[in-house]
Amino acid sequence: MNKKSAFQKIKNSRVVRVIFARKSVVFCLAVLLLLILAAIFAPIVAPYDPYKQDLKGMLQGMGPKHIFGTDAMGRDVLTRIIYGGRVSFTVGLVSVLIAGTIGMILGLIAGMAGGIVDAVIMRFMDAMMSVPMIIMALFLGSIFGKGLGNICLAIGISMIPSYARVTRGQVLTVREMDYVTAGTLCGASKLKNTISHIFPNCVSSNIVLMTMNLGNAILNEAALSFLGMGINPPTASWGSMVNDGYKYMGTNAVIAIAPGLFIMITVLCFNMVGDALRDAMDPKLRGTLGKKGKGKKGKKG
Amino acid sequence: MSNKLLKMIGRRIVQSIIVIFIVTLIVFLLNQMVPGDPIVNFLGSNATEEQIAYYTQLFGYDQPVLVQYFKWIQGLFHGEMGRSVLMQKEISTILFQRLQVTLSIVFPAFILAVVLGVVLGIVAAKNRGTAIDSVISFFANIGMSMPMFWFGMILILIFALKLGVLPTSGFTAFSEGAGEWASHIVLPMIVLAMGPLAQFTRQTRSSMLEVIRQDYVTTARAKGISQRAITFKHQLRNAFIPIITVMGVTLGGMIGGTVLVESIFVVPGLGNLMITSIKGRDFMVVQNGVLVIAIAVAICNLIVDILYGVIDPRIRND
Repeated sequence: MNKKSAFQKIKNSRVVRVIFARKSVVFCLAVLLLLILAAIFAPIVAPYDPYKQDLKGMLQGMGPKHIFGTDAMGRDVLTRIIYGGRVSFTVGLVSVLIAGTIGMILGLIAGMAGGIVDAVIMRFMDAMMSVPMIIMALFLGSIFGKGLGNICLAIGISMIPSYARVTRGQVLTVREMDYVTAGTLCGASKLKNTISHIFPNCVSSNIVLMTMNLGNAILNEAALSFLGMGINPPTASWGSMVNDGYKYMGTNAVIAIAPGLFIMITVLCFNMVGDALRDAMDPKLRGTLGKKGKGKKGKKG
Repeated sequence: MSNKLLKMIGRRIVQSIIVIFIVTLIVFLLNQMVPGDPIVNFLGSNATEEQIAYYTQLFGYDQPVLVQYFKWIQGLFHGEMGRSVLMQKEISTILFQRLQVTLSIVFPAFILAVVLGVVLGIVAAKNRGTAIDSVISFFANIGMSMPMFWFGMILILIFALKLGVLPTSGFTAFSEGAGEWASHIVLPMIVLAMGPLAQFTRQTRSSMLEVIRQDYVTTARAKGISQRAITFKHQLRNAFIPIITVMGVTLGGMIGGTVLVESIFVVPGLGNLMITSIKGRDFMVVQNGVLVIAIAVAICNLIVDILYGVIDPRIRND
């Protein structure tokens, strides 16, 4: 397959067509792209140094020099928001990948092995799920300590159970399919069947779940940082910026409100994209979405 | 109640007990991995070796790990949870007090979210594709994306600092005056209810849309049944099954959400206790606190399963 036809194939695929049929989702994708690019190229885009303190110019309100003012140490809030995006997007992506990978492996093992292995893995997942995610993340965070990598790990592990459940459910359905039986009849081992037939069929539902969880992961990072158990200062993180600005709520509210607004916008966009992806991948809705001249969300045809 | 329903409930209770047991294992093992020592933390850097040794022995932290675990479990069966190092009190007493505070916020918030969420979801579904639907869906999306602590902060700014109509923080028990209690919990309640409310709205809307054109609805309409009866008796009852699933999951999440809400509004509840104990390495409190939360979540799930059986005869016959 040459490059052009591969590109054409992606362009014409149902999922892409459905997603791009929704104007709001295209808008969200554009916003996300903008925020991600700003975070990546922060040193070029940001107007100031995120760590440079200016005690004479602290707690300034909104103005032409500092759009969102300056914080208690005189650092430009907009600059720190741009840099803070690095933390949010990294934690979102990495923790979801950790959760997805481990959860998928556990789900595959549980679904394929069955019996006692299945029971042990899934009861463990149930037990993890009965501890609210934020408390689990706080708890794990106290083991791993602060810092970017540790936060990714803490949030990632706390999200594992849902991936394990989804994958196991998928495995149980796919396992009974004719093509898997055909594979077995052709002499494929259980491992070979799992890798070449069952695993690929579990990927898409996990990708949907990952997209939908990105926002949650970002919210959890913000919450941990807000509670002082996230990213180490002076690194800028949206959650810790809200926490720092909280003290000056009565006098200079913008320094706490602005970073929170960015959390909300980012999470909102990820949620919208996740919803669209879920609808696009849902076979029940096939034929009802993404037709020309029918841009509206059609849950039922 | 039918025999089958009772059997199903019995099976679920056994499952819940197994899960709770695994929770005790997980929490205990994780606690062993947390760096830091509760005794050193409590006594501070000026403590002598003798003092540390004395308190370590007093609280039983010098014993082998397995013995500590069995002592904990054994104590639980006698209704004893041990003593808090930080607060120097019986943990069961502390947890009981804190749980009351937390539940007095969680329950009203849950009811608010369910009632308003279901109503808004129905309204959105009935007016699908119109401006009303768009507005409701838009706010539901916003509600799901808002960081809880940030929303709480904005409410404090508006209602407490600018308008001065509500207190910024604290908590008064219901027994000490309903008015005071209400004025203290109204903001935390709204913050806690926001996310779940958005979720219920979205779930109700999409479930209602699923059932709106089912054959039995057409049949009911053909029989001349009023629209109101169709909505409540035929559509809502069928649409409720996925909504109840979301409710069960959400109630558990709300108990977790109190960690944030109680920290913003300085409410002396379970969530606040968890943060101080995790930060202060008060292992026994963390252990028992997580256990209490897990039991609460398990009970929520159990209630959901029973409701399934009551609402949908197909499930109890499985």
